[in-house]
Amino acid sequence: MLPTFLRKTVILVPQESVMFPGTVKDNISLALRIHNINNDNKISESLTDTGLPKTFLNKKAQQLSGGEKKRVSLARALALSPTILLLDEPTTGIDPKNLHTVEQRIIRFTKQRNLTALWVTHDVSQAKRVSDRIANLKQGQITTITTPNKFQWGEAY
Amino acid sequence: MGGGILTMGIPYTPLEGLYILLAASSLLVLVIILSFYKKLGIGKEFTYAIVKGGGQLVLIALFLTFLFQTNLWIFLIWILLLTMIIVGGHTSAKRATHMPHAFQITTPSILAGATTALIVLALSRAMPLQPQYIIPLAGMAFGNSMSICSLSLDRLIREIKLNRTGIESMLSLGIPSKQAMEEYNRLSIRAALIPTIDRLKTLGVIFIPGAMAGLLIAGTDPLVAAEYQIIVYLMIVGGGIITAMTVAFLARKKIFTEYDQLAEWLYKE
Repeated sequence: MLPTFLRKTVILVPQESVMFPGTVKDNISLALRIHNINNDNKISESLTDTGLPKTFLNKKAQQLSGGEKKRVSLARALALSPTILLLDEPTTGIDPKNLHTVEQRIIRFTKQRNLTALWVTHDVSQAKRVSDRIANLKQGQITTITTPNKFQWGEAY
Repeated sequence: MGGGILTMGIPYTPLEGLYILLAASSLLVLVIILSFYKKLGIGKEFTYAIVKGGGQLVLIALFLTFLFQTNLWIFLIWILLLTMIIVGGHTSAKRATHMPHAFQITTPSILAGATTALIVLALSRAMPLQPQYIIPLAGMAFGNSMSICSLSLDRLIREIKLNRTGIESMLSLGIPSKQAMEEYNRLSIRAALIPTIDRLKTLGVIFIPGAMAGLLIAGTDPLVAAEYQIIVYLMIVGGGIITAMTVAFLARKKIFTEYDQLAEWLYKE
């Protein structure tokens, strides 16, 4: 399978949200344009899902706050309608008072869009809050896979 | 070709020139003594560079004297051109720290830029097909392509290393490596050509460039010398752009893996 096709379906949202030059709209539409996907609906849907108002579209992406960049980074991925989303510490840099809202938004759009999210976190309580299943990773190897209810604090490394 | 042509424009023979060279070196000796006295720490390196550079020039002069007088020049010139390409490619490749087999990029890039420029010069009859024209112009073409190749490759690698996360973000959205590095290609090509363009803008104002200076010393009409210098600069700029673009094109295979991931060597510091 071509890496470009695979990455359109399984998308990694990196921990560090790097904004491309231009506006928020430019950032979200860049990959859409390259993949020849019709733009406008995808942009507004992904924006709504990540909780960003439409007024953000014309803002300079590189001037946004850390939390806003994180949302744009999520919106960029969602616009491509992936089936699997790989989230590397998706709440890093988000204001603690907005943490719960962002978590809920991610849970909501994964359910609405029927997509699988692999969420990497060091925060055990967050893992228990947001997941259906928790895989414990030690030195690159999965040691246990369990449900949040059965997950023991001692299992975390 | 007689010895008379070799000394045309300069009113002394090679032997007389040696005395003049020794006399002119007195200033250099003074500078070296001063640098030792002032403990500038450059005396040793400076002396080595002068002896090495001077020695190389004398050797090439002896080789050229032989080349201009033999009918074998048509074969020997190829050896000289091949040496220029190989030495240029390897020198430029040293700029690409950690990049494996960088000469596979630098050598064809220098070759593409310099040979295109030389072919254009030959076809436009600006470079008669005689060794005394081909060698200096080839030297300028290869030398300049080598500098531009080093500058563009160095800048490209620095930009890619600095923007690794941004490029990874693009790749993670399925954007092909070609598009992901487009902006950095543009920056590297532009950066590599800045010194050439700046020199072009200040031609004749801040300095009289090599080809024109040489022609003036050899007694050529200043207007003809200026025209020829413009031709040389057009060759340098044209060849340079081709070199920088070839670097950008070929470097992609080294910067990305076959799966469009950033290559491992880019993560070494």
